[in-house]
Amino acid sequence: MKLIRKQNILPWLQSLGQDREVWAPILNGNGDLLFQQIHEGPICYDLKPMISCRRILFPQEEKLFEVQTDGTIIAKPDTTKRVLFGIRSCDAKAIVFTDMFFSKNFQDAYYESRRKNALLITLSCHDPMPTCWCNTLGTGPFLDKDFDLQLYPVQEDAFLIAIGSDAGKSALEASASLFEEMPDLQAKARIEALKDATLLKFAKNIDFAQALELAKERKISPKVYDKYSEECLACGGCAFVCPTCTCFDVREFTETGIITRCRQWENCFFEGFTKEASGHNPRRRFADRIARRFEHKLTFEPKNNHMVGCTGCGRCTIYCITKIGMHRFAELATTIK
Amino acid sequence: MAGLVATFGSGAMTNSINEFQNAECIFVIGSNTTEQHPEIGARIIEAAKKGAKIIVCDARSIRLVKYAAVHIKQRNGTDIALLNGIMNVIIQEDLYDKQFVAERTENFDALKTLVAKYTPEYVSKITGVPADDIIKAARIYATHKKSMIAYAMGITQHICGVDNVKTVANLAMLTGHVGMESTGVNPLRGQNNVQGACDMGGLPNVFTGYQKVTDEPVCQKFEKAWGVTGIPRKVGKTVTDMLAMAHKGELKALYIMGENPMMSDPDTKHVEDALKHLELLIVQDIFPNETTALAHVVLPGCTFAEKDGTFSNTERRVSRVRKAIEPIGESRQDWQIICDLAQRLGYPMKYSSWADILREINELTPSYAGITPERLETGFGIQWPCPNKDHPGTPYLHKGKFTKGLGTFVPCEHIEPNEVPDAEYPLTLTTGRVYWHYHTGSMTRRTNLLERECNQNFVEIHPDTAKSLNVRNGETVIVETRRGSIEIPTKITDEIVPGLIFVPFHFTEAKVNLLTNPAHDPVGKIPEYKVCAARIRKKG
Repeated sequence: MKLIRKQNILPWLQSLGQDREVWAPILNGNGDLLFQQIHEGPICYDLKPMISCRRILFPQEEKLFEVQTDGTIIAKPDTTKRVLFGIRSCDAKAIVFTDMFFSKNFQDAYYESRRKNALLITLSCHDPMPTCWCNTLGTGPFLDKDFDLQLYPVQEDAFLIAIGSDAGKSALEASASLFEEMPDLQAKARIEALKDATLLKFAKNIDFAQALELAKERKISPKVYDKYSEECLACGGCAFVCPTCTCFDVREFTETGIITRCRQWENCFFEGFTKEASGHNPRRRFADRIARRFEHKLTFEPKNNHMVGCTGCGRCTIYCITKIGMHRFAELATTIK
Repeated sequence: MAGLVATFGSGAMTNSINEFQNAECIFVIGSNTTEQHPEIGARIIEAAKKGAKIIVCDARSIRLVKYAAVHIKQRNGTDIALLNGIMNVIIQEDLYDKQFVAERTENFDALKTLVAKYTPEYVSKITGVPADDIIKAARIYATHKKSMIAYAMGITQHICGVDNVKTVANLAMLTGHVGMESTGVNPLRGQNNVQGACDMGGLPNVFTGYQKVTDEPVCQKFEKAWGVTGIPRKVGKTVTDMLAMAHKGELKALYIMGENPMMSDPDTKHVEDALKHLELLIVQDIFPNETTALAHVVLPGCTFAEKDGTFSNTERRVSRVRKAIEPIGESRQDWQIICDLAQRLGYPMKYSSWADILREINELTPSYAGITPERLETGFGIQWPCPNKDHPGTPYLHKGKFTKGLGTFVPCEHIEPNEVPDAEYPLTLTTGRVYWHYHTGSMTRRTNLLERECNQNFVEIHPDTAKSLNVRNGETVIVETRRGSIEIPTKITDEIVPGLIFVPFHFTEAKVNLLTNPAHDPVGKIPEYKVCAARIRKKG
C-alpha cells in the first residue's frame, strides 16, 4: 500500500494543481477552518472544516444563465477541474447524497459539470467531535468506497493511501517518486488499529440509533418538535452548515437590460419556504417546520431513496447558537414519549 | 446613559455577553432578547437549561417567557413602581446585601424611605401585577449570587427613561449584584456600533471616552491635539432639541449621518415640518430613504462590507471591521467624506487611514489608550476600559469600586406616562421591532429573503380587544392617535395583554411613528415610544 510523508503532501498537491484548482481545509484570518485553495495557507489535517465542500460543488449562489437584451441565452456550466483534498468521510457520503439529489429526476448540468471535474481525496477521521454520529449511520469514520483516494493518518508524519478509482490511481502515478510502499498486511493492521482507536472516541451519551429508528417508523412525538421550537431561534445556520441540505431557490436579477437567473441555498426553517401566494402556509407553525426538516432527513429520505439525509457530521449542533441541532433532536426524540 | 452615570459613574453594559450562560438568575425587563439580541437570548436559554431562574417583565409573552420562573406583565410605563416594589420586599424581608450597601454605596436611607410606601399591594394597584409575583421575583433575584439584569428600549423609551435606569441600578446595588462575574446591569444596545458612537463622543456633552466638554483641561487637551482654539465649552443639543429648534426656525442647517428620523423619530408629521424649515439639510446614508428624500445634499456613504475600521459592540468590545469589497459607485467611507468636508471648510484633517484615527483616539482617550490598531489585527477585539498596551481589557466593570467611587442610590418615584388611555383613545399603543427587520428597514427591507419572511406591518391585538372592536385577524383597520392615523392589518394573538396594541416601526407603508408621542425624558431626551393612547376603527 502507498504511503506519503506529510512534507510531501504539498509538493504532490502542487503538481496535481498544474492543471486544476486544489482545495483543502485551511484556517482563515478569523480562525475559521474553511475549504480554500492551497496557496491561501497551510493545510489543517486535524479538524473538520466549518462548512463542507458542498459549497464548492453546489455554491451558495450560482449563476445559471444570462438573457441578453436581444434574447440570446448564455448558459455556461463551470468546467474548472478541481482537487478537493482532506474531505471527511461524512462529507464524502454527503456528496453521494447530493449526487443522488441532482440526478434523480433529471441531471442537473451545473452540478454534474463540477462533480465530474472534481477529484475527491478523503481523510479518514481520527478525532470525531462530541456531536458526531457517523459511527451509527455507517457514514464514517472510515470509508470503504465513494472516494478517489483515501488517506489514513497512521502516524504523526505520514499517511497510508487507499485507491478508490482509476482517477485516483493516475493522481498517484503522476508523482510516483513522492510515495513509499508499506507491505499490504502491515498497512491493513495499522489501519484497523487506527479505526478501532477512533471508534472508541465517539460520545455515547445519546442513543442516535434509537432516534433514527423512531424517526423511520414515524414514532416521534409532536412534543419533541414543540420543545425544539422553544429552543431554536430560527437563524437557519444549521441548514447553512449541513452537508446534505440541497434545497435551493431561483431568482432573477436585471441590470442594464441583462437578466441573470441565479440559484441560492434555501432554508426550510423560514416561513417563506412554503408560504403560498395567497398567504396560506401549510407549515405555518414553527414546530411544523422543524418537523418537516427532521422528517425529511430521517423519515422520507430513507423511505424514498434508501439513504438517511444526515451523515452525522455534527455541525448543526456545534455551530448552533443554542447548541441544539441533530444532537438535541435525538436527545428529545429518545426521551419524550 | 445618564441613569447609569448618576448611579455607577459609567454608562455601559457592566458585564459581558458570555457571562449570561453562567448566571443563576436573569432578570429581563423591557427586552425581547431572543428576537433583538439573539446571541444573548441564546445564552439566556442555555443558562435556563442549566437551571438558572429567569424573570421576565414584559406585557407581551415573548419567547423567554417559556423559560420564566415568573412572568410579570406590568402595565406599560410602570417599571419604576414595579422595581420599587421589588426593592420594598427585599428590604422588608432583609434580603439585601448589607455589607455591599455599607461599604460600596451611599444614600441608602433615602432609598429605604422612598420605597417603604411601595408595598406589593400598592404596586399591584399601579402595575396590575399580582402582589405574589412581585414577592416571588424579589426573592429569586435577591437570593441568587449570580443575578444579572438585562434591559433594552422597553426601559429607556419613556418620559422617565433615565429614572427607570436609575431604579434598575438601585436594585442591583441593593443586592450587591455589581462588580462580579455574571451579575450587573446590562443595557443591550440595539446596533452593532451604537456603543462606539457614544464612546466616540456622539453625544452633546462629551468628547471621546465620556470626557466632558465642560471640563477646561479636557478642552485644552483636545485644542492642543487638533491645533485649534475656542472649542465651545457649552453642552450641545440633542436630536430632540435640534428638531424643535428647526421647527421654530432657530436652527438653519443640519447634517445627518446614518439616521433616518423620518422613520425613527416620533410624530413624523412634526419631524417632516421641522426638516422642511431648514435652509440646508445634508444626509449621509448608504441608501436613499425617507429622510434623504427631503435633503438638499445627499452624501453616499458605504456599507460595512466596504469599509475599514472598528465597531464597539454592546459589551464594550472594540473589534475590527475589514473591507471585503471596494465601495460601489460614488460611495465613500464616512471618515473620508468628513475629512474632505473639513478640508473645504478650511481645516485640513490629515488622516490617511482608519488606523491613523484610532492612534489619535488612543492618545486622547484614557479608556481606549491600549486598544491600538496593531492589537486589533488578531483575536476578537478588546473590551474598554483598556488604559495601556499591556492591559487585557475589562470583561466586567466596577470590581471592588465603582467608576465614580461609591455607588449612589438615586431613589425615584413612579411617574405616569405622558399620555394614558381615556374614553376617546381607550387603548395603549406600544412600538418595537420584529425578528426579520432592522430599524427603519433601509437595509433589511431591501433584502429579498427577509422581506419574504415579513413584508408588511401589523398591529398585534388581544382576542378580547379584537372581539370588542369586532375586527377579524388580518383585517385592515385604522389605528389612530392624537398625532395621526395609519391603515394596517391586524394580527390577533394572546401573546399580548388585553387593551395593549403593538406595532413595529420598520414599515414605511404604515409608519407607526406618525402616531407615537414626542413627549420625552427631560434629561435623556429619549421619546416615549413605548406608551401612548390610541384607538382602532374599522375601515370604511
